[in-house]
Amino acid sequence: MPKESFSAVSRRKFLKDAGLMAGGASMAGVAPVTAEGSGQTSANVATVPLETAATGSPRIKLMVNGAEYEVQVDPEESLRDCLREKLGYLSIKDMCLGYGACGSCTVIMDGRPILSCLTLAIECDGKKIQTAEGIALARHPLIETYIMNHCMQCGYCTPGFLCTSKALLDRNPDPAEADIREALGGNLCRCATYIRHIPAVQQAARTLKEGM
Amino acid sequence: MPVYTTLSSYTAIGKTGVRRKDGYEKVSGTGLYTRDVYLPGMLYAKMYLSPYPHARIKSLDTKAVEAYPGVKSVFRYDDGWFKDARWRNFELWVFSHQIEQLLAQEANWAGEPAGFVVCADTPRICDEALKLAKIEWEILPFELDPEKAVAPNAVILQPHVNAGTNVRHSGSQLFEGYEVHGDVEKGFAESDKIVEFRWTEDETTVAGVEALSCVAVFRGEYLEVWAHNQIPMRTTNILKQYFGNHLHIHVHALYQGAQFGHENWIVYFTWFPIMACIFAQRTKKPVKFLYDQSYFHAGGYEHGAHNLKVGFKKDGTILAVQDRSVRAGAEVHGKLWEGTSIPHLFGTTQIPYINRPAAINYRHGMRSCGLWNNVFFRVAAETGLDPHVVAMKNDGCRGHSISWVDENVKKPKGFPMVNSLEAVFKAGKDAFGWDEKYHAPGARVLPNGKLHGVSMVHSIAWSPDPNNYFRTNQMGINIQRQTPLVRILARHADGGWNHESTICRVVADEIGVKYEDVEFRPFDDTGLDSGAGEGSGGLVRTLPMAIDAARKIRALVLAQCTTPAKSGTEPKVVDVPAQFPGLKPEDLDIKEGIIFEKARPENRKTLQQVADYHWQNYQPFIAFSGSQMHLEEVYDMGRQATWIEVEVDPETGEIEIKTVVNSNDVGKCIDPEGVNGQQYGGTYMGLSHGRQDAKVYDPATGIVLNDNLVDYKWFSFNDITGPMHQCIIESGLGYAPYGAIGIGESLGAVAATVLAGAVYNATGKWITDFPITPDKVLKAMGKI
Repeated sequence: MPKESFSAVSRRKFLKDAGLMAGGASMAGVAPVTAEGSGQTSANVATVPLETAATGSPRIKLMVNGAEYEVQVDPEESLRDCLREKLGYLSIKDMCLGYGACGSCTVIMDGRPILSCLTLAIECDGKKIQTAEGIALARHPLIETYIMNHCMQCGYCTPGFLCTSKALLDRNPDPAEADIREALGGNLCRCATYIRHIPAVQQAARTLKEGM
Repeated sequence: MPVYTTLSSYTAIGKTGVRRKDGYEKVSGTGLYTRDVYLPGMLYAKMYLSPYPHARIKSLDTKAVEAYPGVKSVFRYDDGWFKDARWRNFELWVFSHQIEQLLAQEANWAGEPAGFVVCADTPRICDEALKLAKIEWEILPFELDPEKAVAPNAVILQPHVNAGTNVRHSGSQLFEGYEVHGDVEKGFAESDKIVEFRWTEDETTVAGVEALSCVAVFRGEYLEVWAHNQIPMRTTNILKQYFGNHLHIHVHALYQGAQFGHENWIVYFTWFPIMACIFAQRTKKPVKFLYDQSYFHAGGYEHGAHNLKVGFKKDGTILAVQDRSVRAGAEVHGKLWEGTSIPHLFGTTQIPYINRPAAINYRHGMRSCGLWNNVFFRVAAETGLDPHVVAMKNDGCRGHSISWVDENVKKPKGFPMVNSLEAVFKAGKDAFGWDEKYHAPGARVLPNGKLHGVSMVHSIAWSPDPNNYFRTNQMGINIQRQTPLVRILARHADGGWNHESTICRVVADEIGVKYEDVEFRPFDDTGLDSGAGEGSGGLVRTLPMAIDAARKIRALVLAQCTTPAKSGTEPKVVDVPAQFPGLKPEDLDIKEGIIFEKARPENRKTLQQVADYHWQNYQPFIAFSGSQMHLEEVYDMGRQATWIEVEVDPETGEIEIKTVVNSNDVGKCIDPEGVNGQQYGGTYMGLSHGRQDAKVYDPATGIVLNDNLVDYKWFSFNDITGPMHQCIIESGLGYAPYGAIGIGESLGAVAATVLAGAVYNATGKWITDFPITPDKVLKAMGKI
């Protein structure tokens, strides 16, 4: 029996095993052009280290939450890994470990919610990306309606839901329950906060409308 | 006097529209989870996982692993570190079917960490290096089915432990769980009718959300650990055993990505930190230990099979229940005894070794509620009585009727003389529209061709016996000069049910300050462990401490406000005049952070001003509590019920869930949004277990075929399409402060088997093999 036959092959694993990167060891460097809106720090926990070991890998430009970055990326590197592990956007989670099955890695790219674990970073050169941190920094009304409607329990999936909901409101300022259910149908929450997202999104929509 | 504490009025407690303390961090993604911990120079460690369900390593060659660029250390099962054999074994309670070892030579399930662990510069290097080991395995026979494992001619799976049977030992005895009350044969003899049937449930898994990890770093005599578990105090104690009592160990428990109880994870939250610390010690670097597959391999409900015999009267009175079960986990019969008047009960549970990962329970057991539900479903169906009638007829505690409980428990102990089940039914039955929707089995075909079915299950709303809780519970409260005004000092692991906000509400009301002025950061290793974390015991064990500390500090504030004193030490002794001279503590009150004279409310000062004054005069306001409830006997008197409406497609066997109503007696509702969140979550999780959650094993290889979120489907948003209605009942019948009763665990377990009754009502066929998948529906209906 093959050694790893008990586990299905994720996209990440496929890319990795395809040998697209010699050695598979180094982390690409990153050059933050402006650092505003980047990853967080804590009293106990240092921020993600920015290593500069890689050479020869292509560089891409990203605009994340309004901050410009120029980043070296490996050909098989997912956008998720790039944003989370190099740039420190830790709101981007990985519940399903790269299968694109859970929505916890959702970010908004050029206005569309995308699964960053299934998106190659190298394909994102020049893209504008918004993460949950950026939505919070922009004081989007969804932040408060999510808190007040208890759209989280353990909270691990919540940033992914937030990004999907924000993208929904960007394209549909007055979503009905069916619209919200359809939009959020691909985001998984094991604590099952699902129902609470309906009033949260609709209340944020009203706030946005009143503010116009 | 009631057995529990009360307040004359509640402000933050029970109020809706209260902002979650953890809300911003969680929604913005700025809250940290263990997987989010990155330290400068950090290394990573990953384990080799057995490809076989039962095999022993004959030889292991890790030279190529050690030589791989970027690999820093390799730890093998035969490492000299195991100089004491006891260090290897972590028997997972007496409940478990499984022997768990710290890095085993013999693997007992496919995917079990075994053989060796590699530590390297990056996770990717770990993955590559793990492939390079040369392992010669001795393949051993395996068994996945607990019933086959206890059959007479079963292959003995652990001959070095049990020579003649697979039933596991507890000490020197074969372990079989028993719950025996009354005389079950007498009960059957007095019954009008006896039914015998069987129900089974398949193994499920948490299947999410944050895969396990642990970060460790040695800083001289200090060892700092970030552990993904719900009991950081236990991790501290374990690490002291292994690394020496001289070490100063600090364990941080950050936000937890959905664990649903700690018991499943005991092995992993003990030996994970140990392994992380071994590598941190050897490499002198911070090490993050990763177990990516943990969310399928660790945790879940166990496989179980029950053979039931139930005797009852024509009026629905249940006289005797006999259950002979074989499970890969715990004994199951206690709840049926705790919450009914059934006088005769005989339950046995055999727990054999099998070749599946350890599974005990998360969000408490579907097992016990499954047993309960199946008994009540059948009696209602066999007698033709409305399920509510059967439920009321058999309501009670420990074989006693509710009228006995009224006279012998509620009245002498000062509980309200209310009937919880009656109140629960009154609210929920009407909200559901039961009388209009209930019909004879298989009697209603909808215009769309689907079969309409409804069902109801009830159960006890339980809080565990506080005497069973052994962990230290400590909490401090500090009133500060600066923001936040009130800071709660205690560490606990966040479980997601908004425990921090609940404690803050209680402390705010008890002291007399605004909720917004109270802060509880769960991660801080303050040296105090609140013991909170587990939803099952959180209220019962944590609230008394919080209340005690709050009342102490309130008394301290009022005493110091009214008593002149000398403070400080020579030569800096200062006179501290009273802030409210000439008054006694009982002359003052505190509301919304203002201390005032009751008779002259205009005589007032803010608590912040007073705290600042006393801080400057060496009299800081700080109080501690280590109290714990000690109750001789606990009766579970609160009840809950769930109603469900389904449509069953007779062509595909698909079950669509249309309407759900929950009615839950929480005793005293402290956090309404938290209660509703638990009800929504429990409903989705429970129904997911009932309809589709199951690990699928290849019988030929013993390997799990759906160990990823693509193939393992748990309920998403639109798996419940219709309305969900929540009813909250406040009877005051709980033993926790204010009469509160736990809610976090029970609903998920109760709802798990409600589908059986609904499918019977829709089709007229019993399906009690969970989950009830479409193929089972079609088979029961004779379609396949």
